[in-house]
Amino acid sequence: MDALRDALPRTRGWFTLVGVLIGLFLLAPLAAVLPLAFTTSRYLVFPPVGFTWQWFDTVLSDPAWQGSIMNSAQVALTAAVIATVTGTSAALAVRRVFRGRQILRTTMLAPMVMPQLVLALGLYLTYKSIAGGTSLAVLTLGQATLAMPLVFVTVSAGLAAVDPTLSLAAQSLGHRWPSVVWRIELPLVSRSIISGAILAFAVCFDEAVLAFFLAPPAQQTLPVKIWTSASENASPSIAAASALVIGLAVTLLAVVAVLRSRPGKETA
Amino acid sequence: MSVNVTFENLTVDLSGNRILDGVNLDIPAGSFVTLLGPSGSGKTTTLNVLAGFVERSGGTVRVDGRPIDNVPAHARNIGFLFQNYALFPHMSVGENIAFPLRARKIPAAKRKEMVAEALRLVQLPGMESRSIRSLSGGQQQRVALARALVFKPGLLLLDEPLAALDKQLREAMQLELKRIQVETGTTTIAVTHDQVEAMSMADLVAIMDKGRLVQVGSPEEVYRCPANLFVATFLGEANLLPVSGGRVTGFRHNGSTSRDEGIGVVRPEDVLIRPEAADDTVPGRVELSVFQGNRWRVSVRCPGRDAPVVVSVPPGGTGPRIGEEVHVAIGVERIHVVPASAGTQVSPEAVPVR
Repeated sequence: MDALRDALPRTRGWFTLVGVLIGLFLLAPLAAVLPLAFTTSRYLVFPPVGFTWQWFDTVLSDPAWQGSIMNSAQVALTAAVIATVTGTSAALAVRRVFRGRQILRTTMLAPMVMPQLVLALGLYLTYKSIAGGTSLAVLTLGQATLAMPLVFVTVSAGLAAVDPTLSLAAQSLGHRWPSVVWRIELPLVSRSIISGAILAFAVCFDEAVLAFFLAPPAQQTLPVKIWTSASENASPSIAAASALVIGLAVTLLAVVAVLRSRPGKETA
Repeated sequence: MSVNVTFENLTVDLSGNRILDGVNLDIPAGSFVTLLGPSGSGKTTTLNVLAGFVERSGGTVRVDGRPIDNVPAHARNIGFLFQNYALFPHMSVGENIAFPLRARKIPAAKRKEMVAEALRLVQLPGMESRSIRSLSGGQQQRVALARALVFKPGLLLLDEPLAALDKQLREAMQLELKRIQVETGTTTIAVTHDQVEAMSMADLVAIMDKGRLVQVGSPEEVYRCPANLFVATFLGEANLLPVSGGRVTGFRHNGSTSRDEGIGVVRPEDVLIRPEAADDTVPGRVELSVFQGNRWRVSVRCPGRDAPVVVSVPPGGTGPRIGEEVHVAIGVERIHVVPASAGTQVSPEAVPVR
């Protein structure tokens, strides 16, 4: 320990340098796209020239962009709600399982590691043969599947900090399990549930792979619209739309960070 | 209001280990019983089976004659005081205490009244709106006790109720728990590993070892007449002196012991130190003399014996000095003789099942 502490001042500079380089590498794409949203050029060409809000104006007033934003919002919101309900339920259930808990936990996380292309293709083929085509409803279900593990992990972490004797105490005081869940466990992890829900929404909102396969051509979501626009024309409105997505993601992550940094009720 | 409890041959196996091995115990209504034993003796498991938290493997638990084995925990109407209190951190003191009343669908006005009464019982009147985090450890325990008693259960279970408190508070709470138990008349079962605590609170002490009940009796009974060596050494300080042919080996005394063969259990307060030799004394030398407030604890080395004899000398005056030559007498009428073998309990710890 002492050796480590002594070595820290000497190595700190290097660690900081490497950290900054990694950060730059991760942020470089944003640095490339964001300025282009304000370019006065009619084309999506680097470097940007001048400064204008007109591309945001275009995105927010064009019915095609508007529609895709609405589609994304609607799908992501519904998927996040489904993921929150199922993920939270799964976390509560796994807490009550003793035999094979680890296997169950891993299974719950499977959608996180499964290739999204496989899931997308599977859903696409299934619904094409059953219903003759796909819809935003199918996309919603698919995205809910992707987002569920996020909620599951977040809520499980919250529950791990809740003293299990609280549930026993509630039972001994005469409450059945639904009441124990509703009055004790859920209130104590409310913050984790909100964090999980926000993360789920953020992931679904800019999810592209499933959306590409499952969104009907007439009902594109925002990421799909950005993709098709980029291949059709090279208007800076694409950069503006991307900036909107980035802005939303950063805001949501900031909210989650604030939620997590404040001391939780469960750590009383 | 209060209930009696009967354990009939209660057995619990957990993941292949026998935790409880055929416990039989009758607990009369309105009594205060402590389950006393070293850790791993099965006392907490007994409590958890009674509360419905642990599934039994065999035997039956009856409350007022009715088996409760298939009654779920929430329907048992038993007050449980957890070692860490298990107060709900997101609720105020009042909400915590009202929690069992909500489950019983008691109207709000009546609820408020009962909460206030419970807080008076534990001497925290008017604390309803306080947050749990603003309370001291002792106050938290009182709130937890109020919550466990507010619905007037027939049975109150206390799991190491005083373990988390500092020594001074612990002694005050022992008497407090006893007072509340007498005031409410609730049958109470407390688990503890502290023998002083067990004896000062209880009408009946049940001593457990290795998943079995070793002895049940009043505090005086188990202290004066331990059933075997385990009880004798676990409960209080004891000099263990071999007895053969009705005589305590190496000591002189008039009359003979209650049993001819075995180990004589002699409490330190039953050994006397005399300045002059007499026909019932043996000589010895003071090896250690420690003042402990209510007594001098004196170790006397007697020739021909491996272990020193421990003697309690009343605290008045000056105590025996180290190195002093003394004469030791044992009151033969207070000697309780137990079998020399390990005793009645035969099961080694954690017998594998099957």
